[in-house]
Amino acid sequence: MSFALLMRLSLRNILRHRRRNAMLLAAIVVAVGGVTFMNSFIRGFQQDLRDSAVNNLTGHIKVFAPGYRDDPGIERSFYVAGDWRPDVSSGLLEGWAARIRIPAVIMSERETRGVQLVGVDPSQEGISFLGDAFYEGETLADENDKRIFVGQALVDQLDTKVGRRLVIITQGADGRNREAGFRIAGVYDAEGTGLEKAFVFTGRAALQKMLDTREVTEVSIRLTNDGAGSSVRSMLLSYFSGLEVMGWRELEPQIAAMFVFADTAIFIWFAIMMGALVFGLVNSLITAVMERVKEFGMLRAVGMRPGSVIVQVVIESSLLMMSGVALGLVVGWLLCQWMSEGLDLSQWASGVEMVGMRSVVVPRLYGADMMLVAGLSLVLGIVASLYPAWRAVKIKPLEAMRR
Amino acid sequence: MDEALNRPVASLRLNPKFGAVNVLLALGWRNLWRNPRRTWLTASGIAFSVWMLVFSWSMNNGTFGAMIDTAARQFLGHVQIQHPEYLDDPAFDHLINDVSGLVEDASNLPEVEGVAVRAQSTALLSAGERSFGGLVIGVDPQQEAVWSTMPSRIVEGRYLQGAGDLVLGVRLARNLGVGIGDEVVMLGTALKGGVAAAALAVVGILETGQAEMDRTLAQMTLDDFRAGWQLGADQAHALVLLLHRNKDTAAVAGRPWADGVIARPWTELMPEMVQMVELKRSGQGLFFVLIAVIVVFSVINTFMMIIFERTRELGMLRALGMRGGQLQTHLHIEAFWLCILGTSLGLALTGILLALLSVNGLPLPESTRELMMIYQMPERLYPEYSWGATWVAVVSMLIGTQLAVLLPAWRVRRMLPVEALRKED
Repeated sequence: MSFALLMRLSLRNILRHRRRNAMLLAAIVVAVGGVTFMNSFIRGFQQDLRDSAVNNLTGHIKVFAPGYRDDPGIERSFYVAGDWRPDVSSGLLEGWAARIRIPAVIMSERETRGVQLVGVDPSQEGISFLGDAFYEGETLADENDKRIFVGQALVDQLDTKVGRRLVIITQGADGRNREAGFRIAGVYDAEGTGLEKAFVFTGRAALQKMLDTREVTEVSIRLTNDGAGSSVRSMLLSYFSGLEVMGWRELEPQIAAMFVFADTAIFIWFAIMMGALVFGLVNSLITAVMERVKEFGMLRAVGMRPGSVIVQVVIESSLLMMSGVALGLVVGWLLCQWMSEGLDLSQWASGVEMVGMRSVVVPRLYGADMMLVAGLSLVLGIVASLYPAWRAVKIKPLEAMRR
Repeated sequence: MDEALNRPVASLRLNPKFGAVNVLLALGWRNLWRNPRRTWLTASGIAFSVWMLVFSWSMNNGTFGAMIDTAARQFLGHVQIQHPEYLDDPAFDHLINDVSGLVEDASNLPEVEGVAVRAQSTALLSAGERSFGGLVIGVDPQQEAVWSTMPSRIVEGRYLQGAGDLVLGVRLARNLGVGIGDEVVMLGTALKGGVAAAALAVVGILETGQAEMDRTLAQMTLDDFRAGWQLGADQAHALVLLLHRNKDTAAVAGRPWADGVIARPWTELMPEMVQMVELKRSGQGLFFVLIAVIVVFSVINTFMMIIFERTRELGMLRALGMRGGQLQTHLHIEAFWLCILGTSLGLALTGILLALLSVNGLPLPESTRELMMIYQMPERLYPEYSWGATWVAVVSMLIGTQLAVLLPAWRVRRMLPVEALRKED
């Protein structure tokens, strides 16, 4: 029996029970649309995780002096020539920054806190959260700026404000403590108070002068595409020989672990959704077979092969699944468009921060994920049709026609 | 297939008072078994969604409970008695006075397992030429040793024993470049703006797995702290209470305490934990709604098939004078039984799985160990049965299945007896 004929038979059989199959179709659409929609949020969350990891002064790739990560201090620093540029094609490179980042103690008249003092060149910081943070007062003017730029949460803790002076104590290149007063240029508002409490910024050249050094403790590079990381790393390794070059996954292992977990979550959601669907699908297919016992008997009697019976049932299931998947993907896509402003989770703000998300999650729909959902659904459609098909094959022509 | 129907319904010993209802119920139950395979498949769909909600919610409950317990036992306690403003503004002069009276009050409560008095301040810690900011906490080693897991987090040396001892977080010790026996000088701001100072020898190094704590934590005895920071003998920042059972938290926090202090339950001490769980639950709730919709569609489908197969029979009943509303009632009762079957199946499955897991626990893969430490999760997860999820699942399935009958029922009511009777099988 030709495939085209089997196809026509299956199609007609589906159309014979429009209402019933419409219900089944609706269930498939809800499942596929729902999974697509949920996936886009998981992807949005995943992207947020990486962005916030990369944003919080990490970058995609970072260069350190050996030992700096265990014992950060200005004595573990290295020299970067003034005219050095990362040798990366401009299409791949989003930006780079050389910084000094050292532990320091900051004191107001009332309180004392431990912080990370970061010397930056403000013109390079478009790559970190500093570039687009909201602030009050002024930002740092250039790398010679001797003022500091402080987070809102720290300002609250220290009970101070813009324009006031704070005392910072840190260790100089010679190992002796330096103590100096700094005026607050501005107060930044980062997403999440963790960053605000941790980082105090000042001009890089000004800080170098205070510490008596010409060196920096880190070079951070941000790429336009995470995938290009390995080639850039080997380039950096050969230039900065003897230094450590690390990607964000090594630098932020917790976030990397969450990142991988999100990949698994997509499969778990899919499995649960399809688990709920499969019972209804098998149910409908079996009924469709059992209703047609006589027909199948007749077809077998006039010479239809058992294989063709199986193919016919499988085609029926696949046709239903394919149309459901197509519609479901459209519905999922529409839902994502509708939610393109993002889902506002700010009522759970600190819980959201605890898992490394932002308070607004924007859904991200990837073609690859849609293909995956479509592919797996079709496989499921075929698998679900096997038992009904086997039932159809078991029908004995003679008995069936005698009914 | 229709054997069940051949048995007279009246032969069931029914309470005559509710005879009519009982017959309807019995009829619905029997109708369900005219096609056992379909019934089982549809019920399995219902069971699956019930399982998914109750099981995942119970696992979450267990995990959440364990996280609270770990956090409480490590350091935070279930309830802390503080100065009313201390939580929002942990300034040094927001103290509680008359600590010994509060300790006595608290120790007499049957819900309380252990108490600990603490005073704390940020300070500059120095060793040789190196200086770092840290959080210095004065504790009573005897009290802490009774219930806190902190002493067991010592990776080098020993926990505090008496005056002159200092314990540091592992990162802080490394940053300061000190080991056991080395002296650390602490400088801070004492009460009324004076200079607080202490010089103590490191006797132990702690590793909690939480970066923030490991980087900043320094513990000394409460007496040393009071001396260095010029506190009175009965002053402290917090009285930490560990309870036998987490569920007593609200009761203990809600009871009247002394004037000038406030009891903070852990929900206020770590609001992010509460929010994280709420967030997770809303995600699961949304998912359950989607699954419930899918299941409702499959139930509608089942009833469409049922009325299709019974067209002649239904036509006959109409012709004999049964009203559309009565036939609809039959369908509702059948749906009710289907739902009872499905939810019982789902709950039984959930119960068995949870029973197994509550004996053995769900081991977490080695690769997630680091994450687990950060979120203060234990190595094995134990479920805690959620009655709330059970109610939500059962009630929403009951409503869902009843709604699913409406569309097929509408078709039944529109059915013309003559045409229905004429329909060929």
